Amino acid sequence: MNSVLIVEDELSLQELYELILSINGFKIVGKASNGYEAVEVYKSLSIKPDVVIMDHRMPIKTGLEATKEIMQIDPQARIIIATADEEIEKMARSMGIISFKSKPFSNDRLINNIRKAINNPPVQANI
Amino acid sequence: MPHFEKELEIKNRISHIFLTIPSEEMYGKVLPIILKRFSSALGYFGYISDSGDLICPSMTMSIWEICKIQEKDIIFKREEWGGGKTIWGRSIEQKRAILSNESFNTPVGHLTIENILVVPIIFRNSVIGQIALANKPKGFHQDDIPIINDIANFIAPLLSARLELKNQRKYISDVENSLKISESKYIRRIEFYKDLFTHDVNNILQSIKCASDLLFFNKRELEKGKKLEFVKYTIDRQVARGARLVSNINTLSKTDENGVKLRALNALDYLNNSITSLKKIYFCKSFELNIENSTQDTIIYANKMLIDIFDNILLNAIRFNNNDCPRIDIRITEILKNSKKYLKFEFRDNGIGISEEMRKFIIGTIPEALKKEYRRVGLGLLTVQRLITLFNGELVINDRVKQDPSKGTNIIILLPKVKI
Repeated sequence: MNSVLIVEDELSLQELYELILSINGFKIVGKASNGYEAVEVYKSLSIKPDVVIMDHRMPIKTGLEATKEIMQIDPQARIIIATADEEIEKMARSMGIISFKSKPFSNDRLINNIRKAINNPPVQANI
Repeated sequence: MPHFEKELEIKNRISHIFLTIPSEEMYGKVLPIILKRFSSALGYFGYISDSGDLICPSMTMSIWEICKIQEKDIIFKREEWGGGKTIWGRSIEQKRAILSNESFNTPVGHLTIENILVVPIIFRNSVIGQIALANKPKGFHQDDIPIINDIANFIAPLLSARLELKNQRKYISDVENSLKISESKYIRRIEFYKDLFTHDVNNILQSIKCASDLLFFNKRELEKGKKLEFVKYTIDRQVARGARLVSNINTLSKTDENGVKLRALNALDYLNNSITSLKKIYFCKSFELNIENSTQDTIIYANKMLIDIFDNILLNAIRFNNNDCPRIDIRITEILKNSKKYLKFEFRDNGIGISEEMRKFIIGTIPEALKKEYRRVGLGLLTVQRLITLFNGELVINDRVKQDPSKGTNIIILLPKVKI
């Protein structure tokens, strides 16, 4: 079973992602409500998740800041940015994220993107 | 040339300069004509500014290079020459031409003054400028006074029109600059609100899209996992959140207009209405809400937008809360601060808390709000802060447990009471 870490400060979305992913056969290995928690949870996991779904605009630490730190800890991390901030796409891609999704998107697209991310090799960061 | 023709020619030349030279160069062009008429070597022609100082633009075009005074200026502050301290000051204050054929004690570097004739330029009984002539080879004569007065009287309406035009141009330029500043502030503020609005709307749409896809494609799984109610309820919550967002935008746009009218109203009624709405929105979620009120009189100065303050605080306390049973404790007391009576509301919740950075941002000023790095905050508490400021109240955001923001928030609001 493929594993996912959900990073999202919107609690309703966090719960919905969990539900969608569970129904579609993914295991949720952790949840975080801000970038700081995301890095801490990622570090604490002995077996790293196959995919991280990462929001950007969050309190304490943004998704991009957290992505940068996670990529430093684990350059093989597969991170999908799922955000309402389209303008950060270029910056996010340069960090080596595997996919970028602008909200709102369908559940199908989310699942397809996760599957694609798992089947593809991680992207090399260029910053 | 007969005497009157000579004066007429001088006036024609002065008029021509006033009409054809729009800049302050005009003063330097008029002065030599008058100097020549009186065979004077030195002089100045200037105007009185709005602040009462004497400004002599002609100086830069005549004596500037030869005067050796350090840090010389064409502006002569009123306090330097007022109160009869100087002959030109007396001429302005007494509104009359004055001559002196005695040499002056001048500062080091100043040009030697052997004699002087000064005349105020008076328009509608106000001194608007001055002409000074000096160093006439054989000295000035009393007969020079009516001639210089005649020239000053001729110049008066021309100079007045020139100064009026200058003031109008300055006024227009000030208004244009002020408009540009306001426009730029307004655009930045609109951009800021637009950004927050777009972000929140996209998140609401995302939640609704996720929930509706689940209902459409995974209804059986939801029923099996007893999650159907949760998903339906999520949609209701998001719709309520969208409505609150629209209400906040409306409120913020209203408060951007000049001032709001305040009236006496019962704050407790508004709080109770807000709690009733909260219970309707979160009918599916259990939460604990306690009110401790130690005052009978809850009449304050505010307006109907008070409901937006309570709605935002209460909704945030539940929305940003990871506990199975969110808890909100409300305490209402009366306090005296700086001799003023306030109604104090404390909202203590066990939510995810508000970081120090966010607190500074919310309590801070609008320019802070425009900083991109602070866009993580929602419109809710910004609306609360804006309204409390308009109601002449105060907002304080503390940790529920001191120095541990993750244990929840204690939001304190002070609203001025109506004096009875």
